[in-house]
Amino acid sequence: MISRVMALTQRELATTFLSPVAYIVAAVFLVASGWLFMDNTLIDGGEASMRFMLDSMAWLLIFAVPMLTMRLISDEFASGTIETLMTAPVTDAEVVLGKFIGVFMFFVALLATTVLHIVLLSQYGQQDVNALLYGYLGMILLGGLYISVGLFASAMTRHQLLAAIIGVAVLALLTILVDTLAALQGGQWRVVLSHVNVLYHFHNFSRGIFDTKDLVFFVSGTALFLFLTIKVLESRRWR
Amino acid sequence: MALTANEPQVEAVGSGRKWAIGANVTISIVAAVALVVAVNYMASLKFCARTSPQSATWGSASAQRKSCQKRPAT
Repeated sequence: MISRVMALTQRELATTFLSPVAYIVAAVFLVASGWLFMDNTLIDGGEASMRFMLDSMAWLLIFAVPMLTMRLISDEFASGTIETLMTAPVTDAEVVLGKFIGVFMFFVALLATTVLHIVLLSQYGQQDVNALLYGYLGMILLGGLYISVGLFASAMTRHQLLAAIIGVAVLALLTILVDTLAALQGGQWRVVLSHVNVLYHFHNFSRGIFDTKDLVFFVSGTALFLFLTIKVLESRRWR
Repeated sequence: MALTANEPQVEAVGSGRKWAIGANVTISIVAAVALVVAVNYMASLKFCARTSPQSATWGSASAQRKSCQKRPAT
């Protein structure tokens, strides 16, 4: 199983690195993160912490990740290559996992470029290494969840743009809408809505808190959306 | 018996089977969502948090490095 998933991952990585959309998204992401770093973090008298930049990047990824994931499965539907993939000796779960890991590796590579900001910041002040590690761990977990949501959206339709819109809508629902509703509600509803809010869990990581609750939230959320993607892909066999 | 080219296509999946598979998928999705909710609920009841020295300055955590808590179920 692992060799088949790795083969699919390699194929997906090659496709991603040859895709102009990935480079456009990467360029926009790097420009935006650089601007956020200069505007929020590298300020005179400010705290030597990547917290503000990571928080802002979490918002940025709501729009960036669906752009990366929109073609993953919808393009296979549109070009007809899904039939070849479905008749190949690989299971739906392997296809989904291979695609997920491929884009996830691209995301980690993209995130790795922001290490330059840490080097730059360390020239001006001493940073808390643990807080930095927890922040980047949170970013990786957040990216995994966002990618699984984007993958799910991509499996829903054959149109890439529609897949991106569905992805952004679902992520906005899990972040902005839930956040707004939590602010309007009181009592137990506020607690429940806060727990569903993705950014609420991410803020703990960016503040330098590693909590098992947040880890479970991200891992289980990613697994759930990957499971839903497999089910959507399976549905082609009997619809 | 030779097959004729005009022979009507047999439906790949019958409507009864479609319903059966649909129900199966619905049940599995509901079960998966319930499992995720249950796991998150249990994780919120008993959890461990490790804080960094910086986080204490935000008033979001105590200065202690590691703490485990068990919250009573409401």
